[in-house]
Amino acid sequence: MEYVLVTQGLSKRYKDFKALDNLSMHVPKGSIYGFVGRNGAGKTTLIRLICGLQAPTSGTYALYGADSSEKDIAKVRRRMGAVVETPSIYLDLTAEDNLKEQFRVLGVPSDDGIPELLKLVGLEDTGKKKARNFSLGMKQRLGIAVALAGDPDFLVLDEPVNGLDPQGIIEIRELILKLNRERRITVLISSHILDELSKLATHYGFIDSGRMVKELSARELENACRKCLRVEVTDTRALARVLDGMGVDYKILDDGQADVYAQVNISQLSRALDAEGCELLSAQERDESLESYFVNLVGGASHD
Amino acid sequence: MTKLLNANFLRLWKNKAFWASAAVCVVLGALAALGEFRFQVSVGADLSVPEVAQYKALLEKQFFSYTTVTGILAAALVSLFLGTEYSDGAIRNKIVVGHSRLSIYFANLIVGFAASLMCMAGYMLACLAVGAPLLGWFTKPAALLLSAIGGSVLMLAAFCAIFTFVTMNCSKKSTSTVICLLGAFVLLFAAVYLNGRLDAPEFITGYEMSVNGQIMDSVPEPNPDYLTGTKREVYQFLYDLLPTGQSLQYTMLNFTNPARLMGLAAAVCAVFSAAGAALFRRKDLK
Repeated sequence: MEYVLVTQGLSKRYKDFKALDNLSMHVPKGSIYGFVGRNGAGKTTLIRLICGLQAPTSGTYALYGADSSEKDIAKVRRRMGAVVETPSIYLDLTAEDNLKEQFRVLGVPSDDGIPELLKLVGLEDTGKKKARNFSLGMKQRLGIAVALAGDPDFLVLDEPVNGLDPQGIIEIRELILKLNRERRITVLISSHILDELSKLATHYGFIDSGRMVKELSARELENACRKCLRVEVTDTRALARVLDGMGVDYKILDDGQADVYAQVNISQLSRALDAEGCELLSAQERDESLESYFVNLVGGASHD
Repeated sequence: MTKLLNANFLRLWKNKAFWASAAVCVVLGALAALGEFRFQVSVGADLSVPEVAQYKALLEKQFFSYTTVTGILAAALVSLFLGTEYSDGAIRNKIVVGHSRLSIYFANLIVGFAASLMCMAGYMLACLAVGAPLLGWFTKPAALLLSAIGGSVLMLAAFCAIFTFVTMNCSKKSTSTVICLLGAFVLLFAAVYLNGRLDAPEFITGYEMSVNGQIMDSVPEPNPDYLTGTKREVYQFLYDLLPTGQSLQYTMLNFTNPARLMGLAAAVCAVFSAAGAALFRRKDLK
């Protein structure tokens, strides 16, 4: 798999506080990578590091294969766009002037692309209105437009829907999906709003206390969170034979446990197992949401 | 860096604070000349007599008065204009797309200097336009005037280097603005104090009243506040080193070694720029 961003043993320390602790992550090309973690878990710190706003205390990262310690990293960053925390826009300028400003920063020779960019983010009718007078959603969309000014291949969005109203959240979601599907832009989104992320992400990385707890694809997560029947038996080989015979999906977890991804008749299953010389010890229905998956992963309420 | 300069100047042209500052400078320049003319008329000076105009050097007096307020103006302009990069978070847009921190720092230094210089030029041109017809043309030697203008430009660069150092290494616009403005005033008061000490007379003469009621000068006595030896040299060095000290000297056209002043201004500019850029390179940005 080709990766846009790979971090290896990345750490960042602020005096006595370790914000990132030996973090390794892999953002596949073309993905929408949901970077999930509680407030203070280290999401924004990682984004600051990969955007070059701060230097890691130890460890490295590679953007499009260019290592952070190489000089070429600055050139590679030209392929990036980012909105870190709040949108980076000049409040006393209009949306168009903000984009003109960023076009100068990037050295784009013509301003011809500005109307298209404004249309893409739905700000084409803002005219002479200063960004100061924009709603939070409009500011966020302008921030994304500024990040898109350099036609990036990799877009980094830090909590893009924080504080937005439901309509604003939908607009940002649709914009991100559009960018990913139509422009093939790889998107890294940090968020703690899991429900929202689940509507977008193709890959996930779960961070807690500066450490990457787990990385997995949306399909893997879906499987992990799939409604299932967890059965405990005396012989999983016999169980596998029975379930194969019934034609249902399952996953053997260990010698005595398996998850069955179908509505099965317990009496029928028990009889079939009995015929194979296997006992059904227990059966428990499981339905894990992304939220409970995350809580189980990072240890729930023990954290602040 | 050209791209950054283009972006910075584009923003400068749209910056209301800059145009307001430039307008204030133009008005102040014109008022300085007009005020001087009205004062001379009120005291009955006949400015149509060339000798009077030459003796008083009135245009010079007002023309170079800008140097006193240049520091305060630069403090406000630089801290507000560059501080916006932090307050609006826009500095991140430059770093994220791969511009080096050194380029960002020096592009900001240059635009801050250019903005202050344009305001200063506005004052000078307005003073000249109003003052020349009313107060007469310059009467001091051209070399002196040119060295004062050149020196004050370098002095302005030194001011901008100091304020850019503060603003680029302080993430809060309000804090950097307060530090720059307070710093400008502190430097100005320090220069006034140094000037006062250096201008203290070597001897002081009191008055005595004789028995028949006549007031007479007393025998001159050594002034205990008069600076001598190394102490005087140190005070003089500091007075020459401080951009505000230089500003007082240029205002009064009272300097003997313009090359020394220019060299010191260039040194202040270089030291603060190098230190500021080095700190900014290592700064953790949010």
